[in-house]
Amino acid sequence: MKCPPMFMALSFISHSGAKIRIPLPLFLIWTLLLPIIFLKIILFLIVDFFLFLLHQDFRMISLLGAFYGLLCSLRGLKVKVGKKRAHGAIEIRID
Amino acid sequence: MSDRNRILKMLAEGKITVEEADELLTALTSGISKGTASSGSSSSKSPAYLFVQVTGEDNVDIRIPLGLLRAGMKFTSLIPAHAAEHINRAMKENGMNFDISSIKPEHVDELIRHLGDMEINVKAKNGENVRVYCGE
Repeated sequence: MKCPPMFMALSFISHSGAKIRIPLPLFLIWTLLLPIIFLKIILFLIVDFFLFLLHQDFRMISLLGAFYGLLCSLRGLKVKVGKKRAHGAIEIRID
Repeated sequence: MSDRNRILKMLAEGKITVEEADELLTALTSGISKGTASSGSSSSKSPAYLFVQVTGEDNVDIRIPLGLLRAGMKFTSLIPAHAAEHINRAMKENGMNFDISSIKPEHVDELIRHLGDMEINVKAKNGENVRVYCGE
């Protein structure tokens, strides 16, 4: 099972190849948001119960699941921009 | 379950029409023959990333996971029926006779598999090159 991105690395690459890598711990954000996420799941389940009673096909929890899937699929994203005149490059990587 | 059986099952369940099943089976057989003709061809394996590379005065290298397409597909299933009707009507008014609810995850998987063969190369006069391709 895929999990959301845990690190976002910001790298500065010089013309000579020297690289400074700053890993930003995204897992800390998920940990901090965990109580809100749990609250949201419970709230969505309650709303879904009422939607079920009202014979509605839409489920709020599936929306949450879709967002989770979108977040998970962001893993592996890489953007590297370099300028010849500036003699360097910046790289953003989500792992 | 093989792809052939899956297509036949979808036809039996009425999820696809006879014409669609015929198209899928033709695509499947052509894909198999292509795969056997060149073993290990990229068409048999679905690519994982979309790469965009720009070289020249500025160098840009972007890697986008194709899983984003699959994840986005899940959002289309959340579109309420009446909203889908509005979208279909608007698309028809603009000359696209297309049913948004007919897009299935299988179609996206097939699209991604075939994206492996795609490559776009653009060479500008100022020496800049743009390359868009899919790969591992």
